[in-house]
Amino acid sequence: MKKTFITAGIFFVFIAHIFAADYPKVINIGLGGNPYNKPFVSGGFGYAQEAGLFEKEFAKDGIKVAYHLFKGFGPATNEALANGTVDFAAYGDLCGVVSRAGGLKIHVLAVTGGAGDTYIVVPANSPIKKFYDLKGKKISLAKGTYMDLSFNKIISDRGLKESDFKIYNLTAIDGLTALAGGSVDAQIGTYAALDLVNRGQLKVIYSTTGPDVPDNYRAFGEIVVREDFENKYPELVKRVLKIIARANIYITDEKNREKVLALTEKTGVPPELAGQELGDKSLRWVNGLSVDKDAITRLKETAEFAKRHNMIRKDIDINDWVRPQYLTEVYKELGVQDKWVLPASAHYIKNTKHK
Amino acid sequence: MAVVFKNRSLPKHYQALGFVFPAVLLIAWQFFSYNKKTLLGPPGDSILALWNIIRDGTALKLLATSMERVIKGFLIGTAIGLSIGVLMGSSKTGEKMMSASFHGLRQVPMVAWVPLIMMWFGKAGMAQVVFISWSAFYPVALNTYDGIRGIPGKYLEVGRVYEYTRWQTVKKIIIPAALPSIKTGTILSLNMAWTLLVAAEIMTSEPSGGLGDLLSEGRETFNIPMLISGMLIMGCVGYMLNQAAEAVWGFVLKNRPDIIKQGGA
Amino acid sequence: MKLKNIFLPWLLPVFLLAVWQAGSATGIFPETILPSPVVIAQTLWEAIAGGEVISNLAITLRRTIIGLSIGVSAGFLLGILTATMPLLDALLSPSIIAFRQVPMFAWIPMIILVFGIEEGSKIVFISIGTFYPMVINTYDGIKTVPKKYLEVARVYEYTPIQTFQKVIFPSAFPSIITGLRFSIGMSWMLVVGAEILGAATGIGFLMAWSRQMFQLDRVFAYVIVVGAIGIIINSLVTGVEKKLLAWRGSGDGGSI
Repeated sequence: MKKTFITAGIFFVFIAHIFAADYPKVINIGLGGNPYNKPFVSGGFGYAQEAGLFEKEFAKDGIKVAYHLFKGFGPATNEALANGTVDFAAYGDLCGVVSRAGGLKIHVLAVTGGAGDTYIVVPANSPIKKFYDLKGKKISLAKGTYMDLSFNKIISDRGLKESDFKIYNLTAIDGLTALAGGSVDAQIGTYAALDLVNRGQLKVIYSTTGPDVPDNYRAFGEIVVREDFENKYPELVKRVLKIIARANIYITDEKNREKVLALTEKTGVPPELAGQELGDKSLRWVNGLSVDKDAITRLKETAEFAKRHNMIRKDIDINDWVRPQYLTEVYKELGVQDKWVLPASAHYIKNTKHK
Repeated sequence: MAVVFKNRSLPKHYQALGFVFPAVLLIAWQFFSYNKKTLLGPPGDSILALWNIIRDGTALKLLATSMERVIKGFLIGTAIGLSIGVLMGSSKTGEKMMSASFHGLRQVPMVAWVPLIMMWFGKAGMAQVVFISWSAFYPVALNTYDGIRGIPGKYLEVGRVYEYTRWQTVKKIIIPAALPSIKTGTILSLNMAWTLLVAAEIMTSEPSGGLGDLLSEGRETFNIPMLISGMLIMGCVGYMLNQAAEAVWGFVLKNRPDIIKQGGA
Repeated sequence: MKLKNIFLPWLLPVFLLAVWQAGSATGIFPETILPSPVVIAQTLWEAIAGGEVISNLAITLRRTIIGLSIGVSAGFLLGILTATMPLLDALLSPSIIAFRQVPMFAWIPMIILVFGIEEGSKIVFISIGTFYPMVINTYDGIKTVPKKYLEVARVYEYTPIQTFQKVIFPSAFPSIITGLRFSIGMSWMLVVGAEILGAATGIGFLMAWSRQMFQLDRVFAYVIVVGAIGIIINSLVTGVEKKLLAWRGSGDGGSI
């Protein structure tokens, strides 16, 4: 009996040793998928995936890289971080704030550029023409998503309150369905609405695209890592981030604009829609990475918003949550630290003749 | 729900009447989709979409994934359900110990477990199977338990006469005598498993690779023909599963031990 | 002996709770995966005291009752009609069987498209789901009325209405009650499912929202509420069922 115990003990220590000293077999990365169910992603990760950047980097250590594409806006990603399905994830700012307040042990490695624009759509034959016509109307809005955040900024800049509208909390898809069926008057939605615009069902009355819209109307995102993983393999965190940064250098270069579109189309998004979504936006806005002061301020704004709207029960300390050192070092090594600025200061391409 | 609908009092050719209602529905659908431009589209679109995914093999691939989940979940759920049912039905202590927890948990609707099951089993990719096992478990456990408690005393007498051990009593008398009930349980389970598979596949976090994807993708990309194809496939397969289960049970019940059959359960 | 009877049913739950609490206290179960029973109890208490549970529960129950009433009445009527009128039977029954094969949750997108997002769509969803058990059991109950009873009715020269009142209905009663019980059980599952998948109010919505806001203790607290209501509904139904069937006397209603 005693002998078995000792053997088991030694075995256990041995196993623990292997896990502590060695690398993980797989690095799991969680990303937001799209409804088209194709196993590809767009943006920087999409380029890294296509060019096999992670695979090349980690082949010599025998580490595999697996992508997990989640449906919806965030809960799935947070659960996957909580139960250890994924080590890294990229998603919208609000999702991270909410999970951090809920006790999820993650750190922010970088704030990312435009996670999405907000489109306000109405049925094609609706009498609603401009933003102010929406007052008193039935509006569908997915609470707790970036659209919620964006909409609140839009209305507060115009001196309006949520109570000036009849707001229905519906997911982006249910909202569009309801709009198509005529049970709401308008939707605060994503670019997915453009599909129905193209089919002649809806029209856009307002969107956060275009150069004269304040930057903070648009969503941004963040790249996070599980604390457990970070504590065990700080060196791997840096290497992963370096790959992401390299992919982003490529993907934010205007020379590669066609490539960016091609990557989006590869995910199953209809080409027409992909083109409309990218529009004239500068690639640096769409895909930039940053941890500078302005980026942190944006995270703080989001946390305040969440607190104000009772989405989180306790305050979170943003400075304690962000780990800027990794990206700072990576940028230093890549020699690009000065070029990389907050998405807020990245502009629309001026005077383009895009289509 | 033991008796299936059957037309008993009409001549055979009247059965063609069954097609009248679907035909009316189709015509109405065609009419409304012609009348104005809707998302639904004419029925032809949906039939074409169905034909396309059958032809290019997509349907079969999705079906295979879903079937694998249903069968795994159903088998696991049934096995656990049978054991718990037998335990509760044949041991007083077992019944007293389990029944409060059993009936309490049973009242939480299956779908309410989805977020929690995903959290706990999502990592191993087991969420759907666990969910289906869990939903298949209750009808089997409940009906097995009911069936055993309803066994006429005279059967157990027979066991005593033959001086069966406890295990022999379970194997030779209790289970065979409770078979009709167990049958009801498993058929309900299978129905449940198939119904909730959709819920499981729609609600899980990563694309499930099963038939549920047709529904969620169809819904989210407003591809209504895809959505309807998914519904049609699910309906047909559900029907076939049911028929298959009935057929298997017909065979099993025919081959029960003689004591029970003569007893005319 | 008596003591044992009281003690036994609590053994398993108490044991599990103890393991769970111990696991949470020692950090084996992280709070982001499985909050501790104490935390859940606190959250549950706050949610009840704060009034959000009661107000949302009222909405959910309203949906359930309306949907159930529509589904059950429609199922009952159609069950009687199809079982007693062969022509209608041939016309509708095959469609009923066919439609029933489509899993309930697969209907949700279509229902939203056609009935919108307000109360209507949830009520329609619950009605459809509760319709099937009722129509099938009513039909079965009537179709399996023993031939000899109908002979008796013929001997007494009952009118069709009398035959139905005095012979068919009493004989089919247990089966109809079974259908009703199934429908009621089903309605609670359906309403919660419908609210999780697309609603802005109701107890199911609270679950989905808490999940989105990464508040697992709240998800758990609402699961407990939903389970408790389920237990109450079930014991009410079982109690009423016993009374009704006892009133009817011990006939041949062995189906329950």
